[in-house]
Amino acid sequence: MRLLVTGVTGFIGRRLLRRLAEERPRWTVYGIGRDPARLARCAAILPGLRAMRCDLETQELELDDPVDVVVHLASWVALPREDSAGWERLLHTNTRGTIRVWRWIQHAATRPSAVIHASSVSAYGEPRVQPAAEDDATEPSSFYGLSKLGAELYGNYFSSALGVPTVNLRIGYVYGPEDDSGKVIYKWAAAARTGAPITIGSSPHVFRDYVFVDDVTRVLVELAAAPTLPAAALNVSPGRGITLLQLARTLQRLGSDRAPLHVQPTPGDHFAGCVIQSRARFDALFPGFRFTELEDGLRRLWE
Amino acid sequence: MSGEPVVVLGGSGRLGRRFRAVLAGDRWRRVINVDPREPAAFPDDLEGFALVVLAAKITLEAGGEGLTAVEDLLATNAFAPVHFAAAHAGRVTRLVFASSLEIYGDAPDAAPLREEAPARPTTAYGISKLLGEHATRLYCRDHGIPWVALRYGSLYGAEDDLANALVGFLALAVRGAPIELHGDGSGTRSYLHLDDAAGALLAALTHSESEVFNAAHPRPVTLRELADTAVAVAGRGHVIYTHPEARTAHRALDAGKLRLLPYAPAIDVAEGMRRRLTLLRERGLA
Repeated sequence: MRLLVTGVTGFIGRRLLRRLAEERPRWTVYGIGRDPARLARCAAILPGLRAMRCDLETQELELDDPVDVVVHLASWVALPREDSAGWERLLHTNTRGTIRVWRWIQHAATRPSAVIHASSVSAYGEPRVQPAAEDDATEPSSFYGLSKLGAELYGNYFSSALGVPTVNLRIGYVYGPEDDSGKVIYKWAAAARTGAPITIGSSPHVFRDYVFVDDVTRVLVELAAAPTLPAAALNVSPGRGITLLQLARTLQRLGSDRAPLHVQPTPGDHFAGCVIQSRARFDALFPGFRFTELEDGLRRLWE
Repeated sequence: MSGEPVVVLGGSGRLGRRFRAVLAGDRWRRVINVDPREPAAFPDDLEGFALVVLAAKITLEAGGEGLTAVEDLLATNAFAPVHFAAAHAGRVTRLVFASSLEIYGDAPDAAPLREEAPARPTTAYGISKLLGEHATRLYCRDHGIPWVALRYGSLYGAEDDLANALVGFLALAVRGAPIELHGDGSGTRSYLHLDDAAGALLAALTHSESEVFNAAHPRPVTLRELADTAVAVAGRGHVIYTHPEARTAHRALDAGKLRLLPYAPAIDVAEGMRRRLTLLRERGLA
């Protein structure tokens, strides 16, 4: 197996390399990332990694070697408060960048047999019906979600034009060790451990369908090894809505209740991006798959 | 009606020319046409203006040519509206985005598509328009700007119409050539004459809610009706049915909501074909 991983230096990418090092030592892995220093760290995780520098926001992908499967993780992730100002970077990196990956496939001497694209639950926006199923309407409520939807649509378009199968994984709200994205969950986890206050700065009833990062990498590896890809989109999350209050209380408890909990909702706060994903298609494809329980996943943030 | 200036992004095409002709009747309203590829040529003295985004129609799906236009369509239809609005932040008072029925992709059955139907575009053009619509909605939400998106059915009514079934059938009938229908001709389509398309744009400039409208004649037509109408309008030609096994594709819009814009299209396909034929004869093209 020759695997190409874009965005290999990101959160999911690094965890994927750990799994590959452990479970698939014979695979040849090409890794693409923006930052040379981070690429060097990736080579330390997976010693045989063939690391290449490429910024998909502005650069075409260049690789002469044939690959069997592409795992397309490269993505710009903006925190909600940066979403509107970052629209251009989001669309250029995530949507336009995905087109660059497909242009490379189009002109490759030997095309890969599958493209696995890490899309996002954000593609749904505010679904009218919950849980949200893959064929439901998509109306993103952020430029991040829009950039992911755009990547899905162009992926499907090129897939059909070139005859290269693709699947868009609508990955839930990913968390886990080694994430440096600055999500609030990690601030709370640190606070819970040291006894500093945990402050919920929005409505405590806002909920997310959290998915542990190692569950995502397991799905990625199984799909890469599978003989065929499932239908165009696939939800990847436990299909449970965890409120911020539940999350904070769980962390509080795991930290032996040292940290006090404060709720200070911002005025005008709204329930953006509260989506629970349907598991029907996922369960049919991966019968018996057990998603990591929230408490177990949160405990591993302190590893 | 007097009003604030209107900036038309990509107003040199068929719809843009028709729309500017409608606006020219209003001497109090200044109209500026901007080429999305050269937005720098924009006059800098406008205080506030309504932005109407028409941008590019490049549909080259046949023969896979659409594949080459992906990046251009993305830039002109999806990025340009927000790019332009952001470059003139604080001066755009409302935004009207011309979208397309192609954002829906093929309909599952003959039922005309309502605005709530899932958008599953299958062409590079349809994808770029859908992304432009969403980008417009999100940008306007974040900046408190009222917006309207019009999802146009197939437009026609100019001498340089793009190829579609209505235009093609009429051309065949005028020549006395047979119109060949694959299958039983029961596939549905939605059309809108450019005069009505321009009228709907004008109505959208004063609409109070921010929302999406299907913009087509309220009555979709089957390909069979379209062919029969072309023969009747031309006074010659005939229809033949071939390839009975051909799959029937439906692309009809439910345009009932358009009356809330409010706009009521006045030109049905028979009247529209008559006007098109008159136009072509005036220009010596038929």
